[in-house]
Amino acid sequence: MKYEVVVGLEVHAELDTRTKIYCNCTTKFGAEPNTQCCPVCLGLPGAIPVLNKKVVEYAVKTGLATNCSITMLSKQDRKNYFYPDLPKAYQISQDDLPICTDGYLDIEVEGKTKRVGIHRIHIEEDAGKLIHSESNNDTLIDFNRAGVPLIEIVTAPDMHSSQEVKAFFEKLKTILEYTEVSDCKMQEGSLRADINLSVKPEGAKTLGTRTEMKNLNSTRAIVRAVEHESKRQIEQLEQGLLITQETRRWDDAKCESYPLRSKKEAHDYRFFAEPNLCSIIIDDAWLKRIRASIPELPDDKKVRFIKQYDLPEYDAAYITSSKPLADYFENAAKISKNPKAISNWIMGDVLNKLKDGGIQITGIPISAQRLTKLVDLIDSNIISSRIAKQVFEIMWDTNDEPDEIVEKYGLQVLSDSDTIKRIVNEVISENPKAVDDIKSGKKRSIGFLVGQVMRKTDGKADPRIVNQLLSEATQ
Amino acid sequence: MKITEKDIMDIADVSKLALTDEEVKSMTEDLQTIFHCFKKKLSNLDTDGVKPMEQVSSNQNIFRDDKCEHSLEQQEVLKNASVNEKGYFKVPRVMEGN
Ligand SMILES: [Zn+2]
Repeated sequence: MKYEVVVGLEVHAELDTRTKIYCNCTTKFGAEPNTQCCPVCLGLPGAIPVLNKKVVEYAVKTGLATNCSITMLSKQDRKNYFYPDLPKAYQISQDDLPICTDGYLDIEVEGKTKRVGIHRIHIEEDAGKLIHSESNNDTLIDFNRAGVPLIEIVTAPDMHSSQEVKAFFEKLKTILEYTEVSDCKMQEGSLRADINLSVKPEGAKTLGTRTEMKNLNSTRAIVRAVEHESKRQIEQLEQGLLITQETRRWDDAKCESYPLRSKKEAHDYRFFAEPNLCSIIIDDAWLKRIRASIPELPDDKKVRFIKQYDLPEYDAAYITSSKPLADYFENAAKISKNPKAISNWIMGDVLNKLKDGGIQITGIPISAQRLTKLVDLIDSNIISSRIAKQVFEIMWDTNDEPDEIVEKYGLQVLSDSDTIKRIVNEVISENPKAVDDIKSGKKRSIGFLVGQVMRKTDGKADPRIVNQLLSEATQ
Repeated sequence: MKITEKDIMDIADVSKLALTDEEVKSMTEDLQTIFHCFKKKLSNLDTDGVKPMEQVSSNQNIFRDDKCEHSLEQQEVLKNASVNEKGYFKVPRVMEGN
């Protein structure tokens, strides 16, 4: 039987605010444990939360960038449960009136555009961090993360393969980066996804029983978890077994999942309106201001790059999939006479270098301006494109200006006809066989002679002059 | 609405309370009485024309600016920890999914 996989995501993004959601403690990552806490985020008796305005604005910004409706009047609620990372024994979240509802993102998979619905986006506070010790029978708690603002983005169950999940997740990440709502540093846990997955016989109307995998913190882990869980559920069904509705833990190192001890009762969070906080009213004027703060989004930028800089669609899509990369390209392209060449350098040598060195895009050691200069040197025939690769390597390692490098190492194109002629003559007298071949019609042998001239000039001879002189001399 | 012993046991469970059989029994009766009083009062109220209340506070849009201020010192934070270690609160090992 053929099966259909159905996936919905719940994505948690830590907002890139300076302070926590309900207090003035910093959200900076990596500090000593329990040094960024106060009575509010520790849930000490009598402490009153006050909402950070930026949190509302960032949630609205995300909603607008993902085609959501913005709720005019929204509220915050208590979600009650006991867990040691939650000092108040409740999390302030949003239940029935989230800030954003009913949005979508269009994704491209295998050349086809697909729409993935977004049910809702709400604001909530993060919990503290638990460190479980394997050897000792105890758990350590750091409350620095308690109260860090989050948005939770809940999609419709609209994805049907790991490719679709990957495309959606990457697109969402790009939008969060473009709008600067989250730094999306997955290695620091700024962006994490829960996967809800079920399978059903192809064409079946009703959904199968779903499982949930929580807190996946890399794109690779998400893709692998989706593939693995689809396969596991299909195998269960094929054996005539039922799927248990449960939460499973994904162990990416082992590439397997296992069920978490499930509670006998379903969760009862006993949501109720948070009495210490008031309603949030987002009026048209405020909405308008937030809308105006949204920068050009990746899809629009892609279309503009194709039009304005004549980039191929693939290159434009790739470059705009990362805000820092798009900025880097545009900083160079807008001062260059040859934006297409800039894009070629980025798609080729720059990306290779980043990949080889495991370097982030923000760590490109060659400034956009210098890359433009390098392209100029080629276009004005001061260096050959072969030599340009050498110059690029030196630029990468030394951060020197390209023209200085050319000067220092004497890499200019050799375009002095007399010098080239002398070398051409040398090559001709050293290779009588090739010359005979050319004269008898084997035109391809001329390439061999060009290569010889290039070798003698360390690749610096102007190839047009070399070709011309060689053709004349072998006629 | 009838309060059952199961309701009391469920509430005790999510509240992490251990109740004896007698306690379950007496609480079931107590809560039933309280609910009954409530219901009588509520059903006598005239709620025509009263708008639903989203939030207890009648205020709207009270916000903070996103400006950092000093947090507590670590020793101060850990004062309420019954056990601490290396700057962390220390509790008996918790299993995931609890
Ligand atoms: Zn705090």
